[in-house]
Amino acid sequence: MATVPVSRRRPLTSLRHDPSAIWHHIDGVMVACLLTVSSLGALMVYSATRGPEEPFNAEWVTRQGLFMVLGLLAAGVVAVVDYHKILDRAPIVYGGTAFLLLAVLLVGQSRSGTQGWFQLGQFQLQPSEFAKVALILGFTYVATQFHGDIDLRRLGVLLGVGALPIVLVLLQPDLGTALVSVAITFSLLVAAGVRGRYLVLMGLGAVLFATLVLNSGMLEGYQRERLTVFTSQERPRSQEEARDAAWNLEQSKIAIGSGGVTGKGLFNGPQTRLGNVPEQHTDFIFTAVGEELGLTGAATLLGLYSVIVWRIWRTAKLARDDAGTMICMGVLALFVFQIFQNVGMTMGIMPITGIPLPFMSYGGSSTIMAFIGMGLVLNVHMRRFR
Amino acid sequence: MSTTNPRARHHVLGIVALSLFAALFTRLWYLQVLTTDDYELAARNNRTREVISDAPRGRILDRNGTPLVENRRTIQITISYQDFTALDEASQGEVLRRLARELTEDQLLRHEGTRVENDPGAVAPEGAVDEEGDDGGAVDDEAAGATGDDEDAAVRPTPAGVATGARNPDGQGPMRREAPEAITEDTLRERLEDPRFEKFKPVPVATDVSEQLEVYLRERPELFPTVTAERVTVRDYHYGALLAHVLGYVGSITDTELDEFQNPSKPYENDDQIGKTGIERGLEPELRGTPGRVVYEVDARNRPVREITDQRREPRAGNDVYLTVDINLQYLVEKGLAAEIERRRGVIDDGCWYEECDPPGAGVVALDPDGGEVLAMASYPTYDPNLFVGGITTRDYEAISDPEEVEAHHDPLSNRAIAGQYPPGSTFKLFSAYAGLAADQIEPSDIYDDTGIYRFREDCDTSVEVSNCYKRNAGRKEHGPVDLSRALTVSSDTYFYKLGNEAWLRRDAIGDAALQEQMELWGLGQTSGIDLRGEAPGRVPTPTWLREFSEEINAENPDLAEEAGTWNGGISANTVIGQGDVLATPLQLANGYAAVANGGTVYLPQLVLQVTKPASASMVDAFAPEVISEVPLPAEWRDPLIAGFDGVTKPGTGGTAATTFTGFDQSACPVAGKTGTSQATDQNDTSLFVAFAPTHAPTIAVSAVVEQAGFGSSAAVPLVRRVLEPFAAGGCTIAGPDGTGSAFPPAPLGGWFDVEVAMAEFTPEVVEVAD
Repeated sequence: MATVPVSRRRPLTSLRHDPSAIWHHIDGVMVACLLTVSSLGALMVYSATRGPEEPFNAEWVTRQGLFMVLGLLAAGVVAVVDYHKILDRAPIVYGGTAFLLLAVLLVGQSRSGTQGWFQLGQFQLQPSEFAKVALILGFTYVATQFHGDIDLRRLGVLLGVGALPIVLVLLQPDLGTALVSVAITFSLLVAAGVRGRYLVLMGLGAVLFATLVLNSGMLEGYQRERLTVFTSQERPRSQEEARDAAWNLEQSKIAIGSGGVTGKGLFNGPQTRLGNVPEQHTDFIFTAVGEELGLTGAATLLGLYSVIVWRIWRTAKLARDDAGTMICMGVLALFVFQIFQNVGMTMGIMPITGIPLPFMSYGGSSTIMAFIGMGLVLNVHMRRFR
Repeated sequence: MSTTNPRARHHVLGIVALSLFAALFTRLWYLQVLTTDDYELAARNNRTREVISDAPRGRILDRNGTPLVENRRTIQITISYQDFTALDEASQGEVLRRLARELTEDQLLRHEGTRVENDPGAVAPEGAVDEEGDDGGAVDDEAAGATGDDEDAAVRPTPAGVATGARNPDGQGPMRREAPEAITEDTLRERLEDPRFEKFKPVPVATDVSEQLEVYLRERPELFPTVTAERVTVRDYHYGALLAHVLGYVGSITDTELDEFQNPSKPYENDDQIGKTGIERGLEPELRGTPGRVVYEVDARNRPVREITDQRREPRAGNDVYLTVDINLQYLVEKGLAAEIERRRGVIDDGCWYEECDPPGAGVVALDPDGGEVLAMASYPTYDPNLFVGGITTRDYEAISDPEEVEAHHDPLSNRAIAGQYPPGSTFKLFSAYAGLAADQIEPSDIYDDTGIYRFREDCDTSVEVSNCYKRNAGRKEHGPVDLSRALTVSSDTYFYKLGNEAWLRRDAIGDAALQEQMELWGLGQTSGIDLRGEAPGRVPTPTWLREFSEEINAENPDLAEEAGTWNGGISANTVIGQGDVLATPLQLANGYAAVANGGTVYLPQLVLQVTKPASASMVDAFAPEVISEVPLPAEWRDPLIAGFDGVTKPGTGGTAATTFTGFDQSACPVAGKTGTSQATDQNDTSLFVAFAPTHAPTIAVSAVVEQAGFGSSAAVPLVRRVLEPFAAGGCTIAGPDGTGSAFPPAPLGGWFDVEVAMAEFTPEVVEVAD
């Protein structure tokens, strides 16, 4: 439970200090879980990148440590500044991000077919990661103006707010982030109080749209392949087959499956150590957990994520106002969907799209973004009485 | 969901989040608990690679320990497939073009004799072969060093004279060798892409290249990246074509063989060599070495990361196999065989009435009557198993096996000693005589008056030239009154016609196959179970067999089937003298006479004396004599039989081989035997002789069958004399003067001899004896 126990039944006047001082209301459980998960993440990044033999390579984990520190600082800043003040600047954040998304399409770096990075010295900035937070803030900013009274015109406005970053991200094209953004938007629409029948209609529309997109020529060949490969669950029959689209998935499943209940032991997973799983330190970091720590470790990780999600959900419920609730709901959707999508793809129940596992995957932008998201939730939690 | 209150709605999102996590956990459970074994297996296959290094095959030695088959090192050019494909297109082409040019030049120089295939000598069997890894260079250097010091290693002499091998089955000088075809970039590329070669190992592109080329390649690694010259072990048949049919040869393993021979203690790879015929095949499990194995853990790019040392296995050479054969005796036999065939070629005389004598083949077997050890076994024509080393070329293989060209090559791959089935002619009279005695049809002392004609009916008109009711002796001889011994010595056919006909007439009392039942005791009509594949059973015809056989071949015509399938006294008489449908192999004949010589024990003919650990005396398996059957042979039967056979070679007895044995001093080592001449329509007679010596305490039994070479005494008898005369001179024993070693002068390496010289060694007196 919280490091500073607070009972809502306690008479506020009996406190010696200002009872609404935000420091008294930090969500300690959440912070503990975050630190645990991100430390585990760093450990797994090390395992996946140290190489099979001495001298081990610590370069990656050092950088990930730096990202974690930066992320913590960012989370601190975001948590301290009242989220209403942040919301007031939401149009700037949203607009700025939209500008960056546009700029990255023009001058960004390209990596495996996706133009989504700015090269800053030796680091890369991935604006699409931040677009997810910007989307939450922008959407909340607009939706709170409507006070839950949403007619079709206002719904259109909200959809527009969600659609802009999604379209820009799709142009990179970064399908994973776009899908997460869709999930966030949908969740925020629910939270904003859009009528049930509109939601149902939009859900159906989305399914229809997705079908059309998959069958039209809009997606790159490799994207469609990656999206559909998970539907065929048979093992590849030959080495050649294994080399194509199913290779990632197969190696990933082998890594997780061979981990068994107890795992191969930290630093001792052959699939991990020998680099059989592509992108293992980033998108496929969960395979390292599954192989080396087994069901025990992977289930613990999922448990820790569940606790974090529960704390976000709880914060959403406790939030002082609709704005706080919506921010939390947005972050909750962001987390739940991203975790489900990422872990699901490593186990073959979701299509393979390039999105990181929050706090686990190596990567500056995604780590800092995840911390900022958590900072927002902590912010709401701390200010639930003010 | 009617409310628009955001706070009330987050329960829905909570439930969604919960179910998504539940889904993840379920899937995790499925992968890591329910199906973890499958993935564990997949992961193991994913991460290890085995590198197998071949172990040398065991040696094959003769009964005195003379190595017949060993391994030799040869230089092989290999290309590392993985490294090669890593080169860019342009340099790939360049390397192959350069290598093709060098190989072609080397090939031409070797053809001209300017360069020789390097033979770094036989490998010590216990020596491990190079590991086919990345440290090949160092090992190669050691091997090169060893070659220099190893001057006395077995070096085959320059062939002088005439080969017995496929290169020269007719003794007409060395086989014409065409200039080799040029090697091109394309041939090399095809070889590289050949699916027979595992891409994880270096792909061999040329074998038996000269040392000059090896040095040239090694000095210019920058010109030939990914190309390695390495020394590999191949089979070396020291005596060339000598004993080829017994030794056999090795070749690449087939899928069927892989299934049949695969075993965990000596596992096979799909590019391994395996014994194909002969002892190489029959004792494959002993000769096969235990391949070495190094297991590496590899990364995603198949690069070795570390060795899994507890799974390492060092290569171990296969066991040594000692044959019962004496290679020096074998040399005498094959030399005599080639000489007799050459001597008979082109002659028109005794038995070669039909056309000029041109014997297409022959088989000879020499056994130790006491225990059934095979002392020599030869088949003519023969081939050189060295041709099969490194994979026989298609052209060479067709030259000795093309079914369309049997008239030209006479099937050198067939072992006539065990697979050739011939009507045994008069050599069959041993078995007929025994059958007559055992079926109580004759007594040894019964006197039959041989008038040269046997009448099947009393009223038969013998003045008619061709009639079914009487039969004459071969050569229209009249032998006068003969008892059993005399009938054998002079080979009286009428004596046996009477036996055959009368046994048939009394069939109601004794059964219609009474004689045949006794004959089968001698191992006739069945395979013996010798350690060689392709043994033929021969045939002892019976009335039942004849009926079934006739029904089978005359299925279209029941009347003819009935007529041709009906046994009668004439057929019985013909059978008893070994003509007609009787078939026996040279091995069966030798084994039968060995049995009468040793007192009635039919042994399983044995080719393997013992199996030992590589290059040591440590016995793995010693073979004891194995009895197939015991023929009841009381002295009152055996003595007259032996006496009859003994007379065959003695002067003044009228024996059928006496003339040919003129000048053979038999005082120390008397020879007993029986000649035979088998007739077939539209071809020359086949010449047979079976003998054993010394008559009363035999140490050797020899059978010789020379196809279409005339009377028994024309070819088979002189052939056997060519073998037995040196045998008698050596004390009538297979063992050397001091009880060990060989009784014969050592055979030259390569097995070479000059047929002209061999023919001149012995010229038999002109013979006139039909039998």
